Amino acid sequence: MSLSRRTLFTGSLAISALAVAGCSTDGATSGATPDTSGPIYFGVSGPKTGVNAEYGKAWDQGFAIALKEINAAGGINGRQVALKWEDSQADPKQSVPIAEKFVADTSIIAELGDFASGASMAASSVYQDAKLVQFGFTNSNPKFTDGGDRMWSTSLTQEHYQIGNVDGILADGHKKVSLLYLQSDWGKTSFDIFSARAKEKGLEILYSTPIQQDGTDFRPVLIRARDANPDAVVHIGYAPDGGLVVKQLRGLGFTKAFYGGQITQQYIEVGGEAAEGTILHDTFLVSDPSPRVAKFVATFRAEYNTDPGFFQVSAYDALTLIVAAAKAGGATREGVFKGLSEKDKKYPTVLLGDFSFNEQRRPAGAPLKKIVVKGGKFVVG
Amino acid sequence: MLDTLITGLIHGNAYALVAVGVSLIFGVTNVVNFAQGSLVALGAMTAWWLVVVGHQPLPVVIIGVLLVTGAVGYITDLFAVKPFGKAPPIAALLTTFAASMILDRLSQLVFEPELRSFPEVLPTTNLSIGGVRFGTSDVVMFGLTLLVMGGLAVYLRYGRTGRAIRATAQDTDAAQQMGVPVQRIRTISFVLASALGGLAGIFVALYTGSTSPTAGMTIGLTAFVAATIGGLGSIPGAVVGGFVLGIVEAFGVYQFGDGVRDLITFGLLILVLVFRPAGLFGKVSAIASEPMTGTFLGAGREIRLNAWQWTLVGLIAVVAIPLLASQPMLAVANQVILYAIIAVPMVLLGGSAGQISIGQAAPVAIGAYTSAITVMDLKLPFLVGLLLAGVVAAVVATVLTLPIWRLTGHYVSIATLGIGFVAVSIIRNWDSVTRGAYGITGVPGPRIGDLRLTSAGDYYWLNLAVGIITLLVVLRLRSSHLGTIMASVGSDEVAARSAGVRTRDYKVLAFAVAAFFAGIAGSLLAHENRYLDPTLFPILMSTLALTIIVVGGITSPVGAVVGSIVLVAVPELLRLTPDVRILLYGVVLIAVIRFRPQGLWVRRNA
Repeated sequence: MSLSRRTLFTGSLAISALAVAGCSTDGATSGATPDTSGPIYFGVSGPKTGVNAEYGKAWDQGFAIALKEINAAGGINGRQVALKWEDSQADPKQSVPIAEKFVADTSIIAELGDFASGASMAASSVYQDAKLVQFGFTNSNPKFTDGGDRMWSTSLTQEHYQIGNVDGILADGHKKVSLLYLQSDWGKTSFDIFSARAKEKGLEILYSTPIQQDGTDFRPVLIRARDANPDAVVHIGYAPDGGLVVKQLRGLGFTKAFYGGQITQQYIEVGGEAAEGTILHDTFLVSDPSPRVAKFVATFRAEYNTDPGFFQVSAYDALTLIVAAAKAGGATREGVFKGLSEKDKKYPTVLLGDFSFNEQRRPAGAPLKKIVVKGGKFVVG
Repeated sequence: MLDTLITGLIHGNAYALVAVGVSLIFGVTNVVNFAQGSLVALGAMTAWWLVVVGHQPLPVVIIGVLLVTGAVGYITDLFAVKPFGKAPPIAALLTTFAASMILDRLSQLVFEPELRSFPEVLPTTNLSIGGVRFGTSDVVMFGLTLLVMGGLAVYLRYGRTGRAIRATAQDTDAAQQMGVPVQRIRTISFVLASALGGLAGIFVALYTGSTSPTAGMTIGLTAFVAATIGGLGSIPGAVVGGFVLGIVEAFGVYQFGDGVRDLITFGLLILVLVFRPAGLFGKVSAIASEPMTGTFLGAGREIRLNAWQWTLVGLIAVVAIPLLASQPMLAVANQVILYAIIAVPMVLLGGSAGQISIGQAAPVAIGAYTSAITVMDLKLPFLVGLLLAGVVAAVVATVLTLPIWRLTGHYVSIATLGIGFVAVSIIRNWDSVTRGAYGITGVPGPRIGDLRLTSAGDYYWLNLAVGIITLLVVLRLRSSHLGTIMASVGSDEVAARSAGVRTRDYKVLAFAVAAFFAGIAGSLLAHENRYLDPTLFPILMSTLALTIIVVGGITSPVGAVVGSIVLVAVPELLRLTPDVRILLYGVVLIAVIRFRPQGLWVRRNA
């Protein structure tokens, strides 16, 4: 009895080791003979579970609409386009093994994501070494595209956003603000850019504090922010925390201007009545009358029965754009890179209009709009 | 001032209401129920669904929530608590943790993951004191807390079942002999506490104005801290603990910003335990209770490999894996070895000294940062960083935990949990040294002399070498005289002390050894990931390390290696279905503890 069990365990150990080894051979063989008739794959590294799960869901919706349109129009040179999703939880620890997996899978011609700049940047060296394009379309950290010439992004940088933010707040006639920002790499980098610009332009920051993304009670710091007696309270963060911040801030009797939140339905939903009058500086607006936006919004509503948010549009634009690049340069890893590198090529996007890349592999020029929440909707202010 | 106080009181009230459930279950069953937070979140989500989707009035909502969370509580008890009534406390600690993972994930699948606004079933902003608006909901919540506290006091004092609950709490065996149906009483308390948690969920969601399926983890942990501060098992203690925590947090956060919230919460926990080792209202039991791990020594013997089996394992590790595995699979193999390096020496702490640490992420983080800073800022070679990582992690973690080893039972593990949060919070806020939330990018890869390691295949050799050294050191330590003394501390602390063994010192020593290797693993992690930030060291890292030694067999160093293969490699291979990955993980964990409680690598004595 004891002997057989012992053997069993040794055996299971051997099997798991072989399983580890075995999976590798799969990847290697499929790599030896690239398939030229089956679907063309893009790898997606993004959050499907964990605190950022909702953003992965938003991506999925945007991707689905893009895929439908792309494949209905014949895919890339007649070959269908499909995605290989890996759940990273937007966690830098998990994005690296995913990168290694994508790099080894030669059916993948480019990667989309990760959601968080930190998770993307942790994996950048893997993609750069393998010369696989890493398309971090939501990575606003300016350092992301510094990772190498294979790092591309359609996201405006935090510099772009925060400089526009400070200038907009000053243009509204405010001189003193209290400020809350997320205690993350993104939040702190944004805050640094904001305060540098504020100092330069004479906007006084009376009180500032980091806040936690998964926090639920911000009242103690909001009391402090209110008591500093500012012209406006500024929040640098996402929709869920922004919604709670504005709700609790108004609950503390602060009636002056609030800059913050995020252009998503979720912000309006979480913030409710209190979100009314919130001011944001951003690019996308559902009510934008331009035909391209109107068409996308109509398609999205027909599919999901709700308005698209920033992340759905970003995902749609990103996939559409990278497919266009693959069409231009060829459906290979090198081809995608070649397509993206074409000088002054214009891509039609929903978010940023006729789009082209600048030297930093970022969007060239895109003015921010002043957007206000009115009657539960985002409108141009 | 007044407004901060009121904010703290209201938030503390929410903690108190949840903490009562935690304390009730602990008092009766001696189980620290990690799933309580999940039941609170489930209650809130059920209420959200009944109001927003079902358009039901408040009374129906409350009844619905009580029924749903009561029923889920019953099922949780049936699978994750009841079967472990006679098992050492660590079993139920891990199974309720697994249950909370399963519940959160199921709730996410049923209700969709996003955070949403919670409907105002009661007014939340119609009243005002000192510039703070609050609502009928907060007043009702306060009334409910008092009612629950008072009701439970009367019920436990005079009610027939209530007296049975108290009898069971005081002495299970005696109660059973007196004809108290102990098992039924335990189940009743669990269902009662679960329904109470669900009800609390409604009011917590009303207070924060939002709810999400994954809110349970934070709520559960904080309530758990509140209950511990008050003294586990004491209902009034839980209420006082909740209010104290709420007020201290409010003033602390007002003063120092929201970034240090974890530091305040868990710092308070440790401070209270240092001065009141059983919480504000708890009593230290005069007789030392059985250690958390039970007396495992009699439970079984390690499976031993003979020479040819070792050769086979060696061949797989040294020949087959490097030769056949691809880069991604090597990356998985590296993760396995890193967790083995953390887990193997925990056998000395858990298996020998009988102490449970749920804070092992702390020394890992300390080691990782020490090494990165040594190599990047002090320009010292990698090997110096690696060694310093171990030494600094051992020294700092040991000094931080020095006051906790005189605690007993669950309080030790709760304190180590606190240490895990405190260490990460300090790293997050100490920007000038650790670069805080920015993280450290561009950590140089491991370099030994002129040899630069760059790929997963290179790292594998380094990790394997360190892993083998760890295993040999721990095996040698365990079979030494020192190892025997450590084991005496775990098997019978009173006897060991009577024999003149300074038990506390040996616990500290066992922890220091485990922290040393955890620090080494942290250094490897830092240089191989080439990136560091405080989110790399979550509580899940600590619980995973603990789970590894329990699954492998808590007395067996080789078992810890098997445990990390099962728990680290298998989820990676299950990546094919990310949606059910977490679910399966929880189910497997419960199943292993249920059907092979002594661990995979330990044979029961026939």
